[in-house]
Parts: sequence; structure tokens; C-alpha cells
Amino acid sequence: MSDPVIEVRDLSVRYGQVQALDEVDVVLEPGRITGLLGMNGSGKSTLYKAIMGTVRPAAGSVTLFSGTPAAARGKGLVAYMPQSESIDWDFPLSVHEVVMTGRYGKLGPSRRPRAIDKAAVTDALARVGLTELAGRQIGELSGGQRKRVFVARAIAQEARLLLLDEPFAGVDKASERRIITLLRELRDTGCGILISTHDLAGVPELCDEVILLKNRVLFHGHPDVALSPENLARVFGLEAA
Amino acid sequence: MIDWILEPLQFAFMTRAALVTLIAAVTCAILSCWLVQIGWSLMGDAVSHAVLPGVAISYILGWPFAVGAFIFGAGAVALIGGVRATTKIKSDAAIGVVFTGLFALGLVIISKTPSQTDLGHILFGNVLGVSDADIWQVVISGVLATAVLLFKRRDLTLYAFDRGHADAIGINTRWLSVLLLGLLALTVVVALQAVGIILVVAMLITPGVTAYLLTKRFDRMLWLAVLITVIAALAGLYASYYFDASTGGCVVLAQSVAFVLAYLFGPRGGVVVNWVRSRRVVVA
Ligand SMILES: Nc1ncnc2c1ncn2[C@@H]1O[C@H](COP(=O)(O)OP(=O)(O)OP(=O)(O)O)[C@@H](O)[C@H]1O
Ligand SMILES: [Mg+2]
Repeated sequence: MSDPVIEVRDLSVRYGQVQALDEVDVVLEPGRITGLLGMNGSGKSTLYKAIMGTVRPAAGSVTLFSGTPAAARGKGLVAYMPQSESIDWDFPLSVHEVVMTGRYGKLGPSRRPRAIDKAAVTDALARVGLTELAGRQIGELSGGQRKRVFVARAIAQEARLLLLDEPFAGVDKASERRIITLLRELRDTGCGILISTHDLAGVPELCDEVILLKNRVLFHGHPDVALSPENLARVFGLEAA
Repeated sequence: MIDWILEPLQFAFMTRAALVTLIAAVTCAILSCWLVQIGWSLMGDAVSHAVLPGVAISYILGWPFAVGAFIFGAGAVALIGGVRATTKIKSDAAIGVVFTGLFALGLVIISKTPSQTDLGHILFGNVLGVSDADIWQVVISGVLATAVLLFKRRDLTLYAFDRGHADAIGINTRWLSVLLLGLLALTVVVALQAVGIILVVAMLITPGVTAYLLTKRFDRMLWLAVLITVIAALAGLYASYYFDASTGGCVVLAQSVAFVLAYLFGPRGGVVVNWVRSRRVVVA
């Protein structure tokens, strides 16, 4: 059995008086797509930040690929897809240039790309179907194409863990399907993938397993069980039908 | 025409002024591309004002002006960062509090010291009167800042565009922000000689935003900013010679004219171009 991609133990994160995460345990195996579901404020983004090492936990530990998060990041194993709102789409960069930033961890201090880096970017663009749009400024893309740029960047990076924060917000069904196909291909090559989403209907098709989060882990297991009325009531506080 | 171009260059003070202005303009133009993309334009304003006490103390103690200016420029950056990290004060207010305080300290120091420091020269520049020692400081600081900026340009651009990804692949973004702010302090020291404290901020914003209106690629934005700023600097220098007007003023004014032209006719955001395009769509 291979080592887990993420191993979170007894993780607690506090912002002043707010307990954002409370004794959270999460273990993710490689080659699985895990959905992260929870209400607004349930701690999904905080969990990403703790995995990324940008918030300091009050207690507990995060281990990535059996080592420290910093070591995993330094090896380029972790890819992070930001929420659309946090990106400046008017930034004067082309699709090709953005995907190339996936290679930076493998390059020298001036990040001058070598021939193999250019080939890796060309490959990644072909896999997500953006070859023709490689020269476009990133703002000149549709919502679905924009998401695919960041999937291509993760592919060019050769990351083994993908952290996706609401990748399907503002994406039409055809584009969503295409992205899901790509994520499945990556999973089949052994990547671990963690996706936060509010789209419950898409979960059974997308995810191999589901984590229900409400500042603690309420459930971690098969999607069908996660989406049972009782579990949904517990995590979203709805009345069970 | 040739005479017209060569005439000012017979004077040593004019060739020195041209050298200092061009080095300052190029360094500022390159840095400005990142400052305007990150949203740090106000930091340029703050650092340039905050160096005043450093310049005054340097003159009093007989240090090279660049040393005092750099200490206070970098100190202002650290203070602003400290205020932001330890209070909930909004960032523009933190910047405003720190730089006005330091600027006022500079004014008080200068008003209490004998007249060898000319406040007017520090505030508005005195590029026609730079000494040999000043020129060396400008050349060394300017070349150093430009070399480091160009060497780290890809990292700085990634930092400006997507800090989260830079963090995710193990790039030390904290160190990058310190590097950029340090280079900002160094660049301000260079530009101070050319246009003075008040107008440094123009050199740190205008070339970047002008180039931004003209291209959709960051690499081209860097070259365009340099090209525009060199043309504007030369135009400003000649204008100041033939009209006997403030050199710093003429240089910055020429940059502003370039911005207005890009604003009106630029392919990206140009108002005139957009108007013509929208008419064409209506006709078609
Ligand atoms: N910087 C912060 N300072 C103080 N409290 C915070 C901060 N960030 C998050 N919180 C609090 O921590 C809790 C968890 O927030 P988090 O952003 O992780 O939720 P989320 O599950 O990502 O929500 P959403 O679905 O809205 O994105 C919330 O109660 C929130 O108010
Ligand atoms: Mg969130």
C-alpha cells in the first residue's frame, strides 16, 4: 500500500475566538478524488490553507507525502487552483506563460525555461485542448477555458496532489464534463485530488469519496452514504425529509 | 537639426544631467511595471517622501546621500509593514501615517541645520547641479537595481500575478516582497537626483501604466515602458534646455503626455480606438 498524499492529525485552527477547525483527521490516498463538502464557514478554505502551510495550526500536524508540507512544496508536488475571484484576469500574461509558471519549481534562479519545459507546456496545453488559444491573454477566455488553464498548469508541474477550491463555479456543463475527464485521467496516474464544491448533484459522478466538514469531520466515506438525507441534515443543518 | 541636438551636449552639466536622468528613468520604468500590477503605487510615493530625513542627515554627517536615503526608505517600508501586521488599520492609512511623519521629521531637521542643504533641490531635484560623487552613486545604484530586477523578473511577475501558486511550488514569497521593496528604496535613491522627492512617484507609476495600455504581454510591457521613458526623458531634457524650464518637471510632463497619447490611441484601452471600433460594429 502506498503512502498517503495527505495525512492531517488532530488539526485545530483558531482565528482569535473562532474555532475554524477542531481536531480534524484526514487521510487521503493517492489515486482518489475526494470531495470536500460543507456550509459557508465550515472551514474548507482553512483546511486548504493549513495544508498549504499559510495558517499556523493551534494544534495537530499536517504531513504530505510522508514529509513536511514545505518539503513537498519545494519538490513541486502540490498544485493549488485558486478561486476565480482571486485572480486578476486583466493581468498581461498569455495562456502559455501562465502554464509555464507550473515549471518554475524545476528551473534555476532566473526561471529561464529549457527545451523540455517548453515541450511539457505544449503537451499540457494539448491535453486540456487549449493549443489554439495558447497565445491569448488569459482574460480573453471563457469561464471553462480559464479553469482548464490552471489544470494545464498542474499537469505541466507534474504535481501529485491537486487542491481545487470550487473549480466548477461559473462553468457550463460541457466544460465541467471536460474538466472532470481530465481530473479522472490525473487520478488514474496516481494523483491525489481534493475538491471543495457546493454542487451536490455532481458529487456522485465526480468523487471516489467525500468528506463532510462542519469545523470537524462529520463523515468521510462513500459518496452515496455522504449524500444520505441524515448526513446532509447534519452537515447543512437542514431538516431531514 | 544636428546642431540643435548637439548644442546642449557641449556642456558638461547637460551630459551629466542626461546620464542621471536616463539611468533614473530606465530603472524606475522597469520597476513601475511590477508596482502598478501588484497595486503598490502608493508605496512608491511613501518611500520617496520618507527618505527626506535620511538625505538631510547624510548631508549633515557628510555621508553619501544614498546611504541615509536607503536606510530611511527601507525603514519606512519596515514600519508600514509593522503597523499593518500589528493593528487593523487599513493599508493606505498605515502608509499615510508613516510617510508623512518621516517627511515632517525631514522638514524639521533641515529647518534647524545650516544652509548647505537646499530643501528646494531635494524636493524638486537639481539634476543640472549633480556632482561627480552623486553620479557614481546613481550609476552604481541604478545598474544594481536594474540587474537584479531583470534577473528575477519571472519570479516577480509570478508574485504579482498569483502569489498562492508561488507559495505552492515552494518559492519564498516573503523574501520576494522584501527584495522588491528593497529595490524600490534603492530606485528612489536614484530617481531623487533626477526629479526630486515630489516627482519620483510619477516616474514609478506613469511608465508602467502607459505600457500597460499598449500591450497584453508583460515582457513587452517592460520593453515598452523603457522605450517610452527614454524618449520622454530625452524630450524633457531638450525641452528644459531650450525653454529654460525645470528639468524634472519637463521629464515627468513628457511621460504624462505619453500616457495621454496611450490613453487616447492605445490598442488595448484607447478611448478613440474603442470609439472607432464601436462605430464600426454599429455600421457592420
Ligand atoms: N482571517 C480570518 N480571521 C478570522 N476568522 C476567519 C478568518 N478566515 C476564516 N475565518 C472564520 O473561520 C471559519 C471558517 O472559514 P473558512 O473560510 O475556512 O470557511 P469555508 O468553509 O471556506 O467557507 P465558504 O464556503 O464560504 O468558502 C469561519 O467562521 C470564518 O468566519
Ligand atoms: Mg472558502
